[in-house]
Amino acid sequence: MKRIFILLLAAALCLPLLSCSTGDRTTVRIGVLREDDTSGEAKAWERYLKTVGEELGFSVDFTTTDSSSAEVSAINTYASKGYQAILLFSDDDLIASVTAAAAKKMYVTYPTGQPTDEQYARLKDNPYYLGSVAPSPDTEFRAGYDMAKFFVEGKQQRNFTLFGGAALYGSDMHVRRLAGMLAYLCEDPTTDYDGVKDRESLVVKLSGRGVDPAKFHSGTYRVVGYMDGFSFDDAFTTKLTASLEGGGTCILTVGAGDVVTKIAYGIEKSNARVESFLSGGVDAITADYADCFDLGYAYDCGKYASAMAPGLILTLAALRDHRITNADGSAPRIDMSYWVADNKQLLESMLYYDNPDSGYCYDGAVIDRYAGGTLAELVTLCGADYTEARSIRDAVHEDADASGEGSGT
Amino acid sequence: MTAARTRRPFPIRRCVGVVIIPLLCWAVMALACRLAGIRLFSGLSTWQLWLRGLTYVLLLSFGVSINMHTGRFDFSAGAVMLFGGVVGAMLAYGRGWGPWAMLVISLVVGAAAGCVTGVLYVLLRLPPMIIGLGMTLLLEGVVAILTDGCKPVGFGTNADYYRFSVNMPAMLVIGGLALLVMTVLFHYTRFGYDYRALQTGQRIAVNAGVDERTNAVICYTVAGAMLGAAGALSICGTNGVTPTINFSTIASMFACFLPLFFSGFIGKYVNKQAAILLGCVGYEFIQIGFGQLSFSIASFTADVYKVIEAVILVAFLIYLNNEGFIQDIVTFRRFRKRTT
Repeated sequence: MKRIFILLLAAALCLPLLSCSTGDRTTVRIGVLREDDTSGEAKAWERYLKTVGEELGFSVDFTTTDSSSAEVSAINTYASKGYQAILLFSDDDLIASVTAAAAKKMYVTYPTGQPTDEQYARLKDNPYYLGSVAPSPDTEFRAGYDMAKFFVEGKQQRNFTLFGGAALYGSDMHVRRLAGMLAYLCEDPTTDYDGVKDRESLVVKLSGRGVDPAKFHSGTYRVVGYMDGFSFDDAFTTKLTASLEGGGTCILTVGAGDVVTKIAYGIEKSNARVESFLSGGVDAITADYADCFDLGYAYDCGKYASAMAPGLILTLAALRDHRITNADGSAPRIDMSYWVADNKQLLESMLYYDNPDSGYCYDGAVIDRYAGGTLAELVTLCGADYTEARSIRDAVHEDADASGEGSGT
Repeated sequence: MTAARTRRPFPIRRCVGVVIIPLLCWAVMALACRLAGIRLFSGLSTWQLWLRGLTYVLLLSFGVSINMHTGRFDFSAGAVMLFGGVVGAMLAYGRGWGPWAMLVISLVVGAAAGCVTGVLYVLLRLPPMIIGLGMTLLLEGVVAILTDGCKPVGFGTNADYYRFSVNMPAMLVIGGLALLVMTVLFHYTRFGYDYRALQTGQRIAVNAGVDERTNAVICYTVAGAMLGAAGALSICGTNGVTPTINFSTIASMFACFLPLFFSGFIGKYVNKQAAILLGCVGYEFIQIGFGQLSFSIASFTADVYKVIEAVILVAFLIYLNNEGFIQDIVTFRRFRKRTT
């Protein structure tokens, strides 16, 4: 009896171990390090990676970090658990993170940012660094430029309130977007900002300082107010109210356009001196921004759920021994395009064609196809706007249907 | 405590002590705005924002002060605000009940959350900081579940909720009621008497028959109610909220530190609740002034005024901790003592 009891106990203890070995059917495990785990964009990416992971037979796990040491610690933990690759969304110390992962023979892809020239020089030949995919400074500049152009030419706006987000802290992404807005306005012959009109001079003037409306001179346009930072407190509302009351009823934002729009909407509806306003921003293609179109938001430019695909393609290609590199074998830095919606219907269409329920634009089949492709093909995919992205998806699926293949590994 | 310390100040000195901080805040900000070529209050909208901010920070300060002044630093204040506000917003907007209902729901939900914190504190006998941090994670998690993974909570195209936050009579009623409840509860009831007894000497109070556990649970509950109401005003004021997790709610309680330290000084001349109100009045003058200056002077950015606010806080703490010494210097008391 005692022996039977011991055997049963041993069997019970072994069951969890057996379930571990049989339940873990996936062979590829990817760890994701991120700082932001709450924004609409972060949640959309998480859902995308999990959905595509199920489709292609790999697993993804997420760790939120807030420092370089936390990144390295998380990488070491992933390595000890047998993960093969890291998607690095957080970038407190890119070099330290890549070095830590490489020491554990884990691949690292940087799918939401670009290393600086100095960082790139140190990383590009590391065999475990697979490259980066993110909008380049040119793309960021163009995003701001196109938005300002849309509101001036499409909506006949002349009086602006600018929201510079983290431009004050020197965020290159936000500075470029802001410079793009001003560069468009400065194409007007009567307009300049602090005596300069060209792109690079504007970037220098704005970096770490933001916009001083007093330095904006124009016979055509007005910058009534400028605000930055992300503490939407009473001081912020006071300032936004003053700017809207002063006539700056076209709000151009470099981020957090949803929050700014909601506050502006409240001000408009409760303040007789503000008749109406329009706003636009560069941030993300999410459902919350679609709702903002009912409040006064008229232009949304941003990353979308499938924007994670290129990072995954680089990772899966390397794991399949088909690493995608530059001609000289170094890790690529790939420019990523934004999607742009200038009306609610278009944004909703983007959300419909890029979600887990009705299918992602860059789904498993697309990733599978491009993971076996060339760098040039990947660059084309990254540079696609919404229409082109849908064409890419349709072409891949038509090819798969024609050859009778399904998606998946 | 010496006889000199317990003696009530002369009426004039008392009046000056009561109004000096709000008056100073107003005068400094008005002067700064005048020098920048603008006015501190540029119209009705500025007064609306001032009163909204005052009511919000008053509720927050009341909520935080209740436990802080008895040595229980509750880190879950921000999470209670978020939890109360989000539940209130979801129910009131979802069912079309309007902003007053949202306020009441948030208040009740906040009180319930505070009560749970209090009961846990009493039952588990863990330090308040640990309980507060645990409750923060718990409440943030519940909010994340309620909002389907921290999706934004808003009011769509319904502007009634924002309008409510800038409705001056409504804000006066809320602020007035909060002040009345706090004053009656903490100064004219047995509970308040016990609270102050525990505050000044816990062992003696307990030996004298004060039930410290019940008192602690009631404190957490009342604080939760105030914080829940503050959460509702906060969400109405920004026309929605995107919930966040991982202790990110803790920072929201820091907005009340400056008014609370102001009230530490004013409290020498008037009862604690009125002192908190006056501290908040001064703080809101600073907030509105910062907004106006920031609009007029580009280099006066959000970061700059956060630093200035921190400097004021530190300077004020230095003053409070060295008050006697500073007064001696200002009035030449030591010099006069030596010469006589």
